Amino acid sequence: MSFADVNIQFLEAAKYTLGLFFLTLLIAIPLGVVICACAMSRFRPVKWLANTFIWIIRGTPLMLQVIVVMYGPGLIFDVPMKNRFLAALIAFAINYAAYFAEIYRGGIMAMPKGQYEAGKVLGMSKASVNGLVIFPQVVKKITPAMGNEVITLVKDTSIANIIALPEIILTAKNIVATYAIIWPLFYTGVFYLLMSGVLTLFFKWLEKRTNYYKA
Amino acid sequence: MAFYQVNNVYKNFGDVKVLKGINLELDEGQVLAIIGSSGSGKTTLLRCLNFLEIPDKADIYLKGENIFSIDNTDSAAASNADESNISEVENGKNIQTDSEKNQPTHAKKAKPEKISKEMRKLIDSKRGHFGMVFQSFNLFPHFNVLKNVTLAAKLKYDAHAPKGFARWSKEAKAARKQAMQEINEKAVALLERVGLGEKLNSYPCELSGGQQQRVAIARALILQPDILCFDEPTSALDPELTREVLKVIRDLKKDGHTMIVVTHEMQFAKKVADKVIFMADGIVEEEGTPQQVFEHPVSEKTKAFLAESEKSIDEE
Ligand SMILES: Nc1ncnc2c1ncn2[C@@H]1O[C@H](COP(=O)(O)OP(=O)(O)O)[C@@H](O)[C@H]1O
Ligand SMILES: [Mg+2]
Repeated sequence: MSFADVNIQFLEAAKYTLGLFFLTLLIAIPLGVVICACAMSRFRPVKWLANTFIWIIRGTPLMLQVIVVMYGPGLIFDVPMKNRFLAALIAFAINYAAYFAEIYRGGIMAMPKGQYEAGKVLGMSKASVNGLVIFPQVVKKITPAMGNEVITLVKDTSIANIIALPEIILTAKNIVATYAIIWPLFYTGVFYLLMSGVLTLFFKWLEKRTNYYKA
Repeated sequence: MAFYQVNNVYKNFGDVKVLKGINLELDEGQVLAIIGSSGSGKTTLLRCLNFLEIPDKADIYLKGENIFSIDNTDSAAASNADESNISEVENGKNIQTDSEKNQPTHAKKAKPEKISKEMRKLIDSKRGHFGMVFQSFNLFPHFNVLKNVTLAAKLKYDAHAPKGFARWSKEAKAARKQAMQEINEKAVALLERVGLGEKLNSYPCELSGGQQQRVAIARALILQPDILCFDEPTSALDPELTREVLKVIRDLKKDGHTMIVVTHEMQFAKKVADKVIFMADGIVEEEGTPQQVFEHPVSEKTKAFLAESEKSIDEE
């Protein structure tokens, strides 16, 4: 197996890695808003439910969650999960949504009360205060923490190899097993470094964009 | 009747009685200074007057009209068990805006944030009469100075603009453009008035505390409140910056603004205020002209407070 062959196989596998990465973000970012809204709700049962949910998701390994989504439906309801990618995506989206919800909540709680009160005495509606005053500041506040999570996500996609999703790590493992060479497994690191490098630059740029003011 | 009159303001936080029957009145264009030691309830009073807190009991009159009345105290609860006792007098007729008539009687004990829709509506409709300048400025850090000042006025215009398709008609769009232009011009004029004509595009973090507070004053003024309240506007500032903010307040008095200023600046209260109230333990311990309160205080508490503040000035 030549160096070029390995690269070609890894690029094939990167479709799963990147697909899982982007789709997870696409779902988890808004889903996190919903969970966060529930966790901050004044209605006690909703709040309690959301917090329990967050506790379970954050309190168990993502790997276990992937396994549960993959094999749970078949074992419990006798409707086997056919699509490995879908199983991984569901588990990842829920897991990351719970983490994002906590980040959002932290950002909202860190907003000084004075910002709401200033809006209120200026006769601004709740929607205006939340949308124009609070939201942009929360976004700025949580960007570094979100950056961390998103970079973790890129590496976490490798967890999906546990249900045989042919992402980069599983592909490397298969090559190692088939051709009795070990270096492709180490070489995966270059791919992850590249991806997380791009993300690091992206978040640096994002943080810079809101650097024009200090909270 | 005075331009602005407030009767019997009561406010508890749980079991703590913070305001125990405050009365005050003010003629148009007058400045009222409120002094008093920390914890006496000055901030809570201003917050009640701006509806950031809902008082347990209060009657508020502006230009002879009863704009807000509430009585959720125990005695009212006993005599008037199934009304929430919010009333609004309009055209001399007393309209009871009693929130849902079939509300259970224990609603009296509801948490303060659980105020009825009617109440919220009433409050929101009266907010425009009052402006508030905070101790900590509370500017919007992500907007530049001009936008900080124009934002609320522009939103207010949009809230009253025609809805639906009418909004997108040529005339409506032109009118809006014109209105936004006027708001900008007004904001620039106000910022020039407070000495910040050069700082339109600066962000709050680029300004000194005194400059930030002056932006906050312009931001409150653009909505043309009848009463402008200041809660220790200079207590976060060093002496030099304090002077520039107090000068602005003095200028506003010349422009005829009616203001209530909670302050520790006794010299300012003496020179600028038409009336002074000394608060202690949630009541008005002493009130009168600056001369009466500062030169001839009657209450022992006032004397002690003034002596104490003299001493701290000497120490500086
Ligand atoms: N939101 C609140 N909850 C409970 N107690 C409060 C609250 N706000 C103020 N207090 C209490 O009310 C009293 C008066 O406070 P405040 O109005 O801030 O006084 P001042 O502005 O004169 O220093 C203090 O004892 C304070 O602890
Ligand atoms: Mg105070």
